[in-house]
Amino acid sequence: MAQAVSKQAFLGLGLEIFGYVRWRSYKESESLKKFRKHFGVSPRTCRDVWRALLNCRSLPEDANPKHLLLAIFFLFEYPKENNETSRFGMSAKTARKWRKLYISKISSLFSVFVSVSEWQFLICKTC
Amino acid sequence: MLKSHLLVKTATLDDAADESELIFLISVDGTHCPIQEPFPFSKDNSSHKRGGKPAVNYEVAVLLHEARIVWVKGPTQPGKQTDLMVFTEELHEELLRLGRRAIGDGIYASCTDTISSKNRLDPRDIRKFKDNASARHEALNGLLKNFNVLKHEFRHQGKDFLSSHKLHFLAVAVLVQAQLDNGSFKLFDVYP
Repeated sequence: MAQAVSKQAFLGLGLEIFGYVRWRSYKESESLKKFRKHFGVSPRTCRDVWRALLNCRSLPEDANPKHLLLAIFFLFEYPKENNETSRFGMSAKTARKWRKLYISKISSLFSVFVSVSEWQFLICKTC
Repeated sequence: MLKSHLLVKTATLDDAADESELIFLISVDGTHCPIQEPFPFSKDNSSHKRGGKPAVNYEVAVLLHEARIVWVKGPTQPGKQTDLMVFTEELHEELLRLGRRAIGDGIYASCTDTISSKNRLDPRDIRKFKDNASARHEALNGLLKNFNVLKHEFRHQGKDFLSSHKLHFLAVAVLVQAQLDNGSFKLFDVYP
């Protein structure tokens, strides 16, 4: 089963993707600011989404948090393919495969994050 | 939780009234997301918010007493179905069934049994409440449009581009809701 990932691990992974290899020497607020600038969400949100995916058992054995960041980066920046692949160090075909998979997984969490008992029946219809 | 006795079902000055007593449960509005011109060309996708350029419309509802998205319906064609037509298809019935009302803008003015829009005869604090609810909903739309996939023209083509767009919209809604839940983003309180 896939492992839980801490927000610190997401922070480090996200910043290293964008070339901030000495992120440990930055102030925490500065690191968070840089992470948000590229992904539009906080590492805490990434951790929450990852945890929800784990709880739904929708992650494969060899799930990699980098693929979740790839999907979030795509949603936030909506880059052209060459920009995305050079950042994440994978071929266009591989990036497309993981991005598509993780976006559909995130969207399947709609009924988890939007759960108000009274409205539950509506959500089922929506998804 | 409640700050105004005018907004509960039974007029009471008891501040301990809970959410089951609320008259207005949600605010509702449509948001347009740009797409590329579909082929064959059709005016059905023309969006008045984008000066006639093509877009798809999503109806979004958010709870008023809590920062929570509770309803997403779409994509619909803005040139063919107005926000009011989309609302009367489903959400109108659900609100009637629940016996609750929603806050909406002027386009919903004809649905007086489920939607309350701004009215110059409203008392001062109700007017303030409606202004707050509308502004809060626009703030939520802003959070959704922070994500460029909804802000820029959607480049996906093919037969399944609408279902693909919906997946992207729901994924963004999940990320925004997760941010609202963990306090990274905040929506302001609407009650006067």
